[in-house]
Amino acid sequence: MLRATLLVLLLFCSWTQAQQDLVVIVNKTNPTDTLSHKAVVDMFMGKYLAFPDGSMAQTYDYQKDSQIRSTFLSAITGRSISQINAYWSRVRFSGKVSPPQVFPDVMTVLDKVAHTANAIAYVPAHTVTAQVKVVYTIAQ
Amino acid sequence: MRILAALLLSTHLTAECSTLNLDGFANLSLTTSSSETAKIRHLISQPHGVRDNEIGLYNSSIGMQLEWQHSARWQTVVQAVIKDQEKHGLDTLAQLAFIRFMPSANWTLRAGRTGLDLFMMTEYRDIGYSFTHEHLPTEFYAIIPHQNIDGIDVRYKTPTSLGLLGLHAFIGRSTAPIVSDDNFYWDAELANIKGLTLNLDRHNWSFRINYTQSKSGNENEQQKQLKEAISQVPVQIWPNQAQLTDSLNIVGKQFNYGALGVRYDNAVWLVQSELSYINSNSEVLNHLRSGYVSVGKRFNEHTLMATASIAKSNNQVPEPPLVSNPELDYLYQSIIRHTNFYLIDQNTLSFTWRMELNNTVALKVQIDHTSVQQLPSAFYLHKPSLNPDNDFNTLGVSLNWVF
Repeated sequence: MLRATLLVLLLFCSWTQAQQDLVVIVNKTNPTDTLSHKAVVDMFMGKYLAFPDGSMAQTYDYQKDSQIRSTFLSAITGRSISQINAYWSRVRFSGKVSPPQVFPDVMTVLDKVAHTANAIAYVPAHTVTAQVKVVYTIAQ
Repeated sequence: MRILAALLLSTHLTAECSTLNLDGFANLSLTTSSSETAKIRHLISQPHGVRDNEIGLYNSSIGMQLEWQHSARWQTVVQAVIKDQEKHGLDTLAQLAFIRFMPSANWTLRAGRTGLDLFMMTEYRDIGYSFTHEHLPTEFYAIIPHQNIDGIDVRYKTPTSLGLLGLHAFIGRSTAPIVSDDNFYWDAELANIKGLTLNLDRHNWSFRINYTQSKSGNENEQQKQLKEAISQVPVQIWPNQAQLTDSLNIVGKQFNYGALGVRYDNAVWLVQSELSYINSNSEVLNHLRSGYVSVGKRFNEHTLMATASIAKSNNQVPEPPLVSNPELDYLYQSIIRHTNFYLIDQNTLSFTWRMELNNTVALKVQIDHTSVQQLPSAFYLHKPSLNPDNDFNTLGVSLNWVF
């Protein structure tokens, strides 16, 4: 009985964890299978927009005030969203780099990545579809 | 009109292949100073300053940036900023207006009006939200009024074993106003600007080296009048008349800028420092050394930071004429005022408190204590005084936000 309860609890925890995890996704035709943490940071902070094979990446993001953006960017950089916004204001307003294209919700982002060969974005793990490929996972 | 109407409905438009983004920034900045002689300002372009406990909003500004992403490779960026300036027009309003092309992840090409990549923070000095200081260190940043360049640039980035390496080369020209006492106004042109910046980003570290050359493209009315007056004085009375005329002949004179910068930011501790060396083959700006170091620590939504900055030039006082009379004395004093414009010797100790009010708004308070060995100074405007006060405190409070 105790063993069964523990098993159910474990499965529940795993399911909850999967609900909270964020994953970085690319188009399923993209040859990239995994990305390093540094490559993810470089792409989503506008530092270096390239996949490991050197091809150019197109980053997709969410609105500035969205919770998923704050969670993701803070998780990969270890910085507060205020610090990240200050960084992006330096990059954006000095005209060095374009910020990622912004979309209103996860479903739209999934659809855009599924239809854009060089796209990269992040979504909650439990929303991933067969049309996209996971290349990096952030466990919350 | 259709674009304008659409912008009113949404700041982010997404079409099948392109995006139009409208973003902005604003700084509401209040400044007061105990200085009795120097009117405090943060850039030599500013026509206003505060002294004797006056309160001024002259460091406030507002800007908008429109960015049209035609595709992942092509973008057009236009940025307009309204701030304290002597003259307002399309040319002074437009901070950025360029087309950007990214043929690959490594290369970026831009043509048009771009930011001048002279020092670490020159390109975003108007965006108060983007840096911790309430205002950039006066000793380092106030002397160069030029913030943008009309020309072309190329940027190359590549990951290396040392970190992300970046090379930025730019050429073009730039104009910016210099404002001083007695209604002095000069729209100073830097022609034939050629610059190269090397960047290395590694973990929490960022290193930067820049070298830029330019030539003075024009001269002001005061220089013309002085040269004309000097030419009337016989060589027997003023033996170094020819050298003096040549030193005032600024058109075509070369100006060189060199800068080293380092930044460390591990999300809790922040250290940033820059050193610069500016020289020219003109007596107007012989050479100027400046530097600053800032050390800050973050406590959740609060950042406390201390900054020490220094600037020192070695401009030479020209030899006087061999004969003294009221006209020659007046001419000599006028020349000294002119050649001493960049005679700078001062330092400032600053303490800054930055508080994040929310994710896009910050409140900053900064107290500066400045010791000046030379007044008048190019940095400031002045109340005429035979006994200038050489130590003063300045308080700056600003609300900065991005939207």
